[in-house]
Amino acid sequence: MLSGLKKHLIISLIVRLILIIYGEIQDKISEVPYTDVDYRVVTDGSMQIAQGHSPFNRHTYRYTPLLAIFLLPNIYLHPCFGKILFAIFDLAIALIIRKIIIEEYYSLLLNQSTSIEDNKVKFEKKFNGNGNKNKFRLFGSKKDMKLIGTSDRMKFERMANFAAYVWLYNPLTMIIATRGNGDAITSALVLLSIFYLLKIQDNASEKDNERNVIKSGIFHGLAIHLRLYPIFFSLAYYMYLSDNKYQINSIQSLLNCFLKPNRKQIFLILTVLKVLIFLTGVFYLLYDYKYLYESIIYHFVRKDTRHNFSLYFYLQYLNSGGKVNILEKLLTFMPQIVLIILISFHFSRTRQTIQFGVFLIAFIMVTYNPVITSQYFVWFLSLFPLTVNNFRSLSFKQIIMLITLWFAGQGMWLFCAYFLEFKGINSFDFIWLASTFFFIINIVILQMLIENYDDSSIKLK
Amino acid sequence: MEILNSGFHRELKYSLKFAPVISCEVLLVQEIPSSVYVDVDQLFNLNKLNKIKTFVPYYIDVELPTSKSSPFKVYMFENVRKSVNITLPLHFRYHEPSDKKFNRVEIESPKIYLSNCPVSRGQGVLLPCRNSSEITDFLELASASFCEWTETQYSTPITLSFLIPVGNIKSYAFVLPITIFISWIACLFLTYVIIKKSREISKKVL
Repeated sequence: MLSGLKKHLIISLIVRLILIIYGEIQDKISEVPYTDVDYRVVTDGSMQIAQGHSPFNRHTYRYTPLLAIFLLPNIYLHPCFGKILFAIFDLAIALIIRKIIIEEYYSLLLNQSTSIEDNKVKFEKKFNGNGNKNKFRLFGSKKDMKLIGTSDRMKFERMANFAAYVWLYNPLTMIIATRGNGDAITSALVLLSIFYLLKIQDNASEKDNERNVIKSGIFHGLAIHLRLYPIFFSLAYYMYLSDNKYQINSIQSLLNCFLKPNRKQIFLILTVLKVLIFLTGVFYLLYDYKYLYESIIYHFVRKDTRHNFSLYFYLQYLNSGGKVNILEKLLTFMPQIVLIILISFHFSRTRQTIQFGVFLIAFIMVTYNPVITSQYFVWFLSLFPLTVNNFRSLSFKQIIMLITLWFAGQGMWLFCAYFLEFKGINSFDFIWLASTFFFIINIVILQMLIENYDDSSIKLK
Repeated sequence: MEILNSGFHRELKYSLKFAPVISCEVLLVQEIPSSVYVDVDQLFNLNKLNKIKTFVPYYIDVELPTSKSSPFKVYMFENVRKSVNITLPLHFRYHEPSDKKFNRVEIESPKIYLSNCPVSRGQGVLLPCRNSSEITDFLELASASFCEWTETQYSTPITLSFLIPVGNIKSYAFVLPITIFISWIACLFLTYVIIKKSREISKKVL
């Protein structure tokens, strides 16, 4: 008999493999390919590398050369290699999510035992001499403690597996990965950086902590190198490493946390910078300015005003003829920056809240992004399972309502866009309304999630 | 020549009839106005499926609006048979917003050339060879070789015209304030929700 987790890993791998095979068949017979065009671009990039050229010789190759290097077996082995690799990363994500939650258990156990130790010391001080005898009466026998331990352990196993399944069986991520979108790699790196960040503990040795800061920094740097967006998690990570984060009660103390970095915070910054400078440097030397432009600068100057889910799409389109107004740019860019900073400061105090905080930052980034397509949803969908157990207070009805609302918002938008794209009807004003409506739905979901977030649902009995 | 579908993604369908049938190769040179583009990746894919053999001598940026792009030519190759049917998928670019609801886009009939015919007729011109359609590497586009083709006249050259929806510049007056207003109201609202939750959590911690 396979354990529950293994069974689900195998099932979800098989589902993904079937989707990959299905994709191959559709690509062969249909004019509308299943495979994402970006997957072909990256494969062509790998081809260029295999022939000893720069991947940027392929038009529209706008990723790190690392991606083309990872997909070299697409040329040597089979063009599906990359998709299988992404599917394996999907499984790895589930395992990392699970591991983070299991670690939560050990961390709580450790904290509890240290607080028991503390109590014991206090107790012994009070009843000098008789300490040993009374201790057992207070905390029960060792056997009892172990029993509580196992049932807790099982509760955490259950929560961890549940979170992993939430990821594994998400149809959106299944399809995105099997169409050949490599964002699963970035998501895995983001999760690994969080994993090592959470390993840093007050009661661990300085040396261990520093080692984990460096590991976290390396993965964070890699994630930024791959996809840029994780850079917005940096402030939250940085604040989490502050020693005085529990004592923030005024602007003054907040600024202290921010402006007077401790060793760990400096280590994090330096490691991330080193990784970024190293990778950027190496690829700049190999592929010149073209690398900098295509994979970094382009993403900042890109102006795609075609219709998409974003609140800002129509505004940008109507603006596209004239000059860029600085004030307007600021007004559209500031809200998300304000919210990201706010969340970084408010939700990076405890192990629990930072996981929720990073998820919120990703969600807000996508909601306020000037361009939104469904691929962007992976940014926060991969972080949601970490915190899924914190929403026990949401009723089943509420959850169904939120999910329905979210898809209804997208459905409405697609309906309006269909008339424009395929019927040639001028429905721009309606698409804008639908985008605005979808934005409001996302804000309502954010509000519901924040209000119903319960950081005490993950605890020992 | 006729256009299929509606909206931003359409297909240009050519039906040529040859009489008498000769063993030649035929080349269609289609002028594409700046408001239209072809997706080269899509064409490569169709080439692989043997649906169409094309050559586009430049890099086509599919994201640019009409005002920032320029017209170009698509070369389509086929063998002469009794009737030749070619379907070229086209996509329309966004136009700059204006006070009109639609912009008119016009596509003219292609020029038709023949080559490798048993009997050469008339003056030849140098145009890309048939094997250019195999080029998928953008750096090699310039190295496409040229062959001699002879223009051939046909009976019914036509101009197709369609209307493409355009963003309404008048909407700017309300889109700007409402978009910004909503984004900021949402920001303030979430600020309130976040701070409230944060207070709740820190109370528990203490």
